[in-house]
Amino acid sequence: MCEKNGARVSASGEILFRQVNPGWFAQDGEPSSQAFYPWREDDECCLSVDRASKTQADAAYTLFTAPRPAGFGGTSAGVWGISVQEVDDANVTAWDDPVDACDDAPANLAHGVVDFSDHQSEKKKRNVGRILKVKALSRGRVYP
Amino acid sequence: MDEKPKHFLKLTFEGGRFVDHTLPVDVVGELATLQALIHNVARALFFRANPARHRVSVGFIDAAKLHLAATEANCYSIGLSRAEELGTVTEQHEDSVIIEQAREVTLEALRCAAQGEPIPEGFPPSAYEQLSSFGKRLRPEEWLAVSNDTATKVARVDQKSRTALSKAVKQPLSVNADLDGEVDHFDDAGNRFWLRLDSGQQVEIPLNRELRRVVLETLVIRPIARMRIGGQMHVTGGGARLVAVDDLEIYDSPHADEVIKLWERLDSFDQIREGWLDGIGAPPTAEARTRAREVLARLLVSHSALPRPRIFPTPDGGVQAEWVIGAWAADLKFYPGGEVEGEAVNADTGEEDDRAFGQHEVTAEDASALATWLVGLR
Repeated sequence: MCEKNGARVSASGEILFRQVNPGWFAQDGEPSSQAFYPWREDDECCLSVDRASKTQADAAYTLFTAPRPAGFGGTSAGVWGISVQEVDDANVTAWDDPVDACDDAPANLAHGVVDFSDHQSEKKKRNVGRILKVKALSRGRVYP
Repeated sequence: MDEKPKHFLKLTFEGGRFVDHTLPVDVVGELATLQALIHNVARALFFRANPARHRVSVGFIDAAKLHLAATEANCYSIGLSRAEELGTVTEQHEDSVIIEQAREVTLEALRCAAQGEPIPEGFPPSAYEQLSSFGKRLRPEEWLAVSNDTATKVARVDQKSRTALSKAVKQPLSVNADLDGEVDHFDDAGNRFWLRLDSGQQVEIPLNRELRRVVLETLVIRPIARMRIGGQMHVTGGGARLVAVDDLEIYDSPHADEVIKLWERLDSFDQIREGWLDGIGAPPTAEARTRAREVLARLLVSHSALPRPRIFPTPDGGVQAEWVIGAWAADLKFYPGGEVEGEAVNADTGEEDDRAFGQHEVTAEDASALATWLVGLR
């Protein structure tokens, strides 16, 4: 079950930024569908994104890759974008989910999640991931 | 008015490579084959006519020698003359008649073969093998007309007549083959290997020590490396077999660069360690990588019209190839144990198309089932 601490984002053209992590999940500028669905147990059906209404793609990338505690110390092959409308069309939902600062990481007020809780089967999740990948690819890598 | 010179034999090569009015050097050997055939037939007729003799008469060999005396570019005609016709000898050889008989008997045998009639009894069985090898340098779309000096006897030699002839004289059909394909497998103990042609036909080829290393190397890196072999092939009801290798060349497949790039990507997965994905994730297994290497290389080479896939590791130790074909996103998963399964979804309609591939359904030799699945998504 995807737990979030914000409201549902209503369907619109707003872009949600997705970091493709790790670098193995991209080749020749194309991400894997594995980067667009939550498959780890501790993801709890939540796919992390950043909302374009609250941040820029470059800022989201910098925050994600900067070493702790200034950033989250992640690796990213780049930022791809999917719209909230595309998320809705794929039968998943987008939610606001701001993150407060903690001892070793900064706050991320632009953080959001795509909730896959309605898709209990792994196969359904994989298919949503594939759909979101196609939409992201049509837009091209947003940053860098 | 000058009279057109008469030749002992006139040969006209038609079709295929001869339409440009030239004679490929590869085909010139037919002239030597014909000369040897006429000589051997004449020799047999000589001993038949002179049972008490143990040796031919002096000058017999020279009298049967043929000279290329004239050419015409219509596809390509050749006049072959003996020294007597050329006027380079002053006296006619005592056995000239026998040599002319040999020509007539040979032309009749070739004519009968082309008509599907039995070989005349007058033709010596000792020359059957040579007779059946005449024309082996011709390709299926080519033929040769052979006539005597007065053009009263004309024989057509082509693949059909040669096939009928080889059956009639109980000899394997011998053809000069130019083969192009991939090394399929080899039999070290039996000193032979098999070349798989693009048509799927496999041809057995003799393997000697010199060739062994090259064949093994080519087998290991197929489908990057292809082999082109020229040589003499015997065709029987049981299949085709090369009996002598004249020339051999290894060359890169037109898609070698794409396959190398794919293999480099898979080789780079060597760097993936346990826990590669935020502390979890197994590195791709050898089985998954090998299956991906073989099947995807075959797909790139044999189904080159399909888009190139992107290749990714999966956290469970597998390998995943991904395509976007129109609105379809298709993933092919090579599981850690080597199983192969495809899942696809249409991003516009949500339609799904899944396909499990059996172990022998997609292989290093055949990825057509995978190609069919991908093409069906269009």
